[in-house]
Amino acid sequence: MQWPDYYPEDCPPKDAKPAIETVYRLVKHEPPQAEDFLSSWEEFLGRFPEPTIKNSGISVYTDPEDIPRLFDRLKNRIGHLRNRKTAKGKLNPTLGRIQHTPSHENSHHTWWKPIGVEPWFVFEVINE
Amino acid sequence: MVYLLDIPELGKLEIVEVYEYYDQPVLYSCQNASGQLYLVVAAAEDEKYLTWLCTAVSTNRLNQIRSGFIDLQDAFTKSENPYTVQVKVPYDENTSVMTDYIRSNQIPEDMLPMSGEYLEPENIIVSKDFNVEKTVKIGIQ
Repeated sequence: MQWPDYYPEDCPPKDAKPAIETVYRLVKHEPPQAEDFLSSWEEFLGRFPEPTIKNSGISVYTDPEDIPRLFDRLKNRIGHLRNRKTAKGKLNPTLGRIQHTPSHENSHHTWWKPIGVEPWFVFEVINE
Repeated sequence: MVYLLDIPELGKLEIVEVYEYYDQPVLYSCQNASGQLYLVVAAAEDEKYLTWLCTAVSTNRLNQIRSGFIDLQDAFTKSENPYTVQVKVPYDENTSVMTDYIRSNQIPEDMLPMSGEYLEPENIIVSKDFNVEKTVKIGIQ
């Protein structure tokens, strides 16, 4: 598995696991597109002083029961996420590595993608 | 350290607490070198820019916000300072960041947290690099 050149040393972290989970993410497009799976580093090239483990990965959530409440809260509070759609995808080990990184929600995970994968093909929008 | 934290209008900022995280901190408090605290939210996006709102807050007011006593929308629209800094960060790395001042009570509603949203103190993530006990909590009775 080949990782992007910009990834810092030790990224993904050693204890990140092969991605096999079903995960949920807020996306702009239906169907989801490459743009919906950019890390903050990729989305804002040149804006960060350096790549980090955090800004090289993207946020996904694993608990389906938690998703409606969590995403409603994010949309209610964060204007830039308000018009996003909920997408669901079944990951597989070719799509990278994933680590449990609980944030405000216990099911928050960070996902790191290798070069050349097209993960948007395993995602579908499940509601508007 | 995120890209928003080093622009001339605000000074070099350090994150104090993160209230919402999605790919990056999207609702958080931060402080510049002279001690001014700001509440920051990712407010809007279009094809070219991600727009942030940064409102100056006193320690006492931030304590009220973080304790869930002040509605998040009011935290921006009824700010102590009548102006909020709007920072537009382009996706194109060759385009400069743009800043502007807008009257806090005239911020478009779709850029703001919805009315009725309050922080829950137990869900706040404190920056590892920051002594929140020494700064934010000063003034709690």
